[in-house]
Amino acid sequence: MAREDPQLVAGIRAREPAALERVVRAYLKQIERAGRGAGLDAHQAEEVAQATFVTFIETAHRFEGRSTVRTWLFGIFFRKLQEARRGFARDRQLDDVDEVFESRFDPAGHWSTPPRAPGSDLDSQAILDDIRDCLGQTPERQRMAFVLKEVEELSTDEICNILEITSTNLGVMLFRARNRLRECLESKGLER
Amino acid sequence: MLSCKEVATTLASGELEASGPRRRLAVWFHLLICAYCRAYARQMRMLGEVTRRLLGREVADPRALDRLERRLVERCRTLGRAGDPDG
Repeated sequence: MAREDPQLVAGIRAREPAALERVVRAYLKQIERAGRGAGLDAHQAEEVAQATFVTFIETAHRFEGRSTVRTWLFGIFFRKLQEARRGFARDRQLDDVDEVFESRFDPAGHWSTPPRAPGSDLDSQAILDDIRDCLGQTPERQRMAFVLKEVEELSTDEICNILEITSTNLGVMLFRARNRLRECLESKGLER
Repeated sequence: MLSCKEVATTLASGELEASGPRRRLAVWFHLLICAYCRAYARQMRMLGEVTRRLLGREVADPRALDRLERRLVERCRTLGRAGDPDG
């Protein structure tokens, strides 16, 4: 895993205003976006971003530079997100999307219900509305894994650290998220 | 020869990125001859692309974000160093 600039690490540990400020300026937009990626509205995303950075500033002296600042921040972010959502059902061990996936193939593993090729207009408001709706139906951790991978483009190691899961588990989450989204979009008619 | 189901599982789980050259070649060959799995692969790419557009386009009120940035920077200046929570 990449290491952080030692000078920045020292500055953060000493809680030097300039170093803390540098982190806020570098990552606030990304953290806010991840909140919206997790399905929060603009207001909630701002609140979770604020809580993330306040905790970061207050606990900066504990940052040892063993992970990057970004991983550290996303870790705080993810805990704040869960706090903000406490009470939501945890992901079920068994997921009905697995059964749906199975049902798309015959016993030999050939498609029995083939996928439909997507249309080329990915910019239309309709498809954006559809994906928003479909993301809304995707369980928290699957959705977060998908967004960190596809939008924030974090590495597998980094995502596993943030979500505190193994790489095998991450594969299962991405598999479920993508198949759920694909089924959802297909049901809305994606050939547009 | 990989089955469609194996190819789809490899694509959706992100396993392909971590796979060795033999597996990659087998998937590539399957995609070459299977239009259904090509459609599936296109769907997988589309999901990421559409999500990136959704989140990139719908920026929350940029001024609210600027205000939050100023508040946090202010906090760095007053809270950082001034009060050591362990001290």
